[in-house]
Amino acid sequence: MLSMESSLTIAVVREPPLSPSQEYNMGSEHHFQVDLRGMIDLLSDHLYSGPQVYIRELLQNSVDAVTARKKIEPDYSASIRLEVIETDGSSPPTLVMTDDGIGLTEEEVHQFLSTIGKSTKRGIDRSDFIGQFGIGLLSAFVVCEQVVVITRSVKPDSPSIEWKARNDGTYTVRILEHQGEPGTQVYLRCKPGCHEFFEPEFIVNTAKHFGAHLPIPITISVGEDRTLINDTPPWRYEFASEQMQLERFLQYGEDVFGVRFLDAIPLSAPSGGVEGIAFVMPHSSSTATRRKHRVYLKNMLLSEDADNLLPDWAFFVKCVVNAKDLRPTAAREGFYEDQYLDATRDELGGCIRQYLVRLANEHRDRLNRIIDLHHLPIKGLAVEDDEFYEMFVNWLPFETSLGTMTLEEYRQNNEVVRYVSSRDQFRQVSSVAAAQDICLINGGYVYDDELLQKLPLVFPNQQIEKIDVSELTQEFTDITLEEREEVFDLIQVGNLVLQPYQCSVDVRKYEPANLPTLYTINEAGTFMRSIDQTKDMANDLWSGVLDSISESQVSIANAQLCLNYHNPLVRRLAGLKDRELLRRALEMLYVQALLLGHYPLKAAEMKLLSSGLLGLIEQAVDKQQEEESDE
Amino acid sequence: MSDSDSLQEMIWEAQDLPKGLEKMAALEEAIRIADSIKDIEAGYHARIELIVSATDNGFKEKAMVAFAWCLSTFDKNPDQYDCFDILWYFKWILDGSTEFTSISRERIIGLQDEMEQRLNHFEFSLRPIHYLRMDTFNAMGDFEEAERWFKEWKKAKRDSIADCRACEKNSEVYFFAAQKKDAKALKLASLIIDGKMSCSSVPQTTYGGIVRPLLRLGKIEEATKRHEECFRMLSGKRDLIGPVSEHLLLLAHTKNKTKGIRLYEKTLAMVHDSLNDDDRFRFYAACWPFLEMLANNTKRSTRKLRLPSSLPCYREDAKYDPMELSHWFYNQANDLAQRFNQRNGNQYYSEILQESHELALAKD
Repeated sequence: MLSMESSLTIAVVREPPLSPSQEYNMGSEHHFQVDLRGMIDLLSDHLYSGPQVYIRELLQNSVDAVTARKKIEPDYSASIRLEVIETDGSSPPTLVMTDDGIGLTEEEVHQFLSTIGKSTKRGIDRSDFIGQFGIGLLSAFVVCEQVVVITRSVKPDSPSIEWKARNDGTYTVRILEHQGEPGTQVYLRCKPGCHEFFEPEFIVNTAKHFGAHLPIPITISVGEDRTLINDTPPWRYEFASEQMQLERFLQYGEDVFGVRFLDAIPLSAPSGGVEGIAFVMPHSSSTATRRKHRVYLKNMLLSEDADNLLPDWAFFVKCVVNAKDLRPTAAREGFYEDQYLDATRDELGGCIRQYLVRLANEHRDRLNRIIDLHHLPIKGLAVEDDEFYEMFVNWLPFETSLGTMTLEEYRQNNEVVRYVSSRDQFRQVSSVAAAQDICLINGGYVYDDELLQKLPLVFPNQQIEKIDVSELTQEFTDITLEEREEVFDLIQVGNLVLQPYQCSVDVRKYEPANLPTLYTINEAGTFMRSIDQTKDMANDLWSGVLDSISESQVSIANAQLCLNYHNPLVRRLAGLKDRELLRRALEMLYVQALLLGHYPLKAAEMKLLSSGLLGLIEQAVDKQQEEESDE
Repeated sequence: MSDSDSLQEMIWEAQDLPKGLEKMAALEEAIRIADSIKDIEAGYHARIELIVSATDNGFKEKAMVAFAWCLSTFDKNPDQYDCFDILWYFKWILDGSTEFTSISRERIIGLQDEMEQRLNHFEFSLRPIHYLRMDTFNAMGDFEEAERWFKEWKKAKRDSIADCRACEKNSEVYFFAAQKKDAKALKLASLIIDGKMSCSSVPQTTYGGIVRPLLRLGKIEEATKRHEECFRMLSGKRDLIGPVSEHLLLLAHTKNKTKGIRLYEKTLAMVHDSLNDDDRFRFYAACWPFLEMLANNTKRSTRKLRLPSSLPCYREDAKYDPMELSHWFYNQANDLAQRFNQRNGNQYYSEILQESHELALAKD
């Protein structure tokens, strides 16, 4: 019987060994000493999401061992067995995990079980294996003080080996006299304070959680009870009808997430060997939502919050998928960004797209329900995909000055698609535009601007027009030449008075008649206002910086005060002979329009407000006194 | 509910919105209301939020205006507001100042000096201002000054006002890449990318800094691998036009037409009316060789492309001769380069422009 004691080593030495002369020159070589207990603490704090992952790591090793054996003996029907040995309390409970996989030789035991960071699966074609980081077995020390492995390799003439490791970093290896069947048994004895991780219910639930979809039979026995935990995922079934498939998928979604989803989309992406289901969320969500998907890697649960699997626009679905050929990141939060993931993402996006197109042709009611809740992601897809755009854009809802409507409804009544590009612009004019029956789209929401700009590309005869709100009033009914004569002075004085405020004056006819003025300003104009307002208080240096920034904006800034010819007050002002009174009245109308539009006043406008108000009062008082003295 | 209460609610709601133009618009609305009811404190806090949101969305000029307002308000009442906020965002503003050709070198130096005074006044380490001087001079192609401040920065003590280590390391990548010390730049970049250093702007920006070094060294395979890793972090991001443009150069080099056109259209829609001269320059400088590559690798003389209708070169039938468009973008980029050269007092931007063409169209 051979037995020896060694310590676990860490696979960090990558340099070739030094020759004796080098050693002499450079001093003697030493290995780092790593405290295993400290390292396990580190691992359990940082790498593992919790002690329960020890079951996943062990399952993973067993599955890989079985897979390796099947490569040599394709017909071998292997299985994995977990046995929980409960005790009366005098000694700690033990978990035994047995597989009839490939097993290890003595050399392999030293090499792989005892060198942390070295994996049997490194350097070979690992596409069939789940594990690859060489740290799996370590996780057992999170719940055990001692791990015993009994293993026998399928390689000819391999004896049974016992490897006993302790959490202080020492281990022993013996060759056993009794020769068992090829395979591996791992004995884990619960350490104090970890009893909850050895309770049968916990073990069954955890093994199911991680391994239920594995294709290798896994049984768990506790005393006389035996449970087979395997459960074939629904995407691997053939269904007699589409309806049955949908029902089964939705039921699965409810079981897994506790949510009754709106719809379920079958997924398949050959590039990454991905199969699964995308569930349509039953409530709407914003573009910034990072959906967390449940992903299996080679049928073992990898992560419940993978977030990089789908195209950005697909934030209205939550997935369960199994991937065969994607690389997990070490932290297991998702997959590594490479060309396969890229191609997979495109293919999965394609599945969702195709499904929507099919609904459009066969189940419009179901599609409408999805559009109602999820027009945002569907708009996102339409921006990226021309063909999809052509088919869907007409059904998408837009906010307009005459209420929300689909683009189809809009286009039926309007030859030219007209829109403003920001919500601020829309706010300025929407109600007045509505009163003139002008239908304007608010392009200030995510995707809308892009969608509208794309219209003439996809429908060559469709005209679009982006409206500058400061010019919108030009579409209101113009006044006649005679009327223009009547308001000539009004316009001239107005332009003069408001020139220091970069605002021009026009007169048009519009509804409602009780509205005397409409102030409109374009985006550059709004920005200029905020600069002027800030300059009022800034020091020289900053004032200079602000001037520099505004340079390019001055020429395109545009603001206008449009007086309403239908309004009685405006008509009376037009007849006013007193220029001074007219000036003050126009200044006040300007300030009032700013206040009504919630525009903060610049210092000069504030002054206008106070002096104008006082001036008007004075003028009224003077007039009263004149009349009184006349009497 | 009083006006102030409903305003506060508006600001909270705006804060909850995801990053993006809608959030920026909501904050601007809140500021307008705050100013019109003279709620200075609410106006201050909403503007601080706007500085972040506008920067996120690539509207640095809006961040500057908001900051200038906050700074003046802070100075009137320094006890009422947090000096850390002011100094922190001052860094952003100074950093962005070089990207506007209309801001003169003298003004930029004025801003540097003002920041130094304020750091001294509040007894912070001068590390961030040395670092920003290095960064801003580097951006203006004044490598002598940049080198000088690089040394000062390395010596200075780190305290809470300093940029995070990932950001500082990232600036070093750009520092060495601008001087074509490519091996050094790439080594530092791999410390960031492979070492998983990250913050809100790193490693996205780092991925932009390595394209020229990789192309110059002919490491196309590595460049492509890096491109795949980062593409989703960059595409469609208004605050990352610089890095996006570098990747368009790479797509031109690898003749990736489909992906390139998509990126070109998407980015152009965001950049064409931007006030940020550097963003427009970087992107147009990449469009020039990209479209030339497209012209050289297509049988048809015209191609359907989506251009914003407000561009002077826009065509209603959407059919463009890529070579003609390429010239248009060259002219735009060249005009901008001249303006930068004039401001900087050197030929640095012209050199960048020429190099863009050479690297993108070089044969492997």
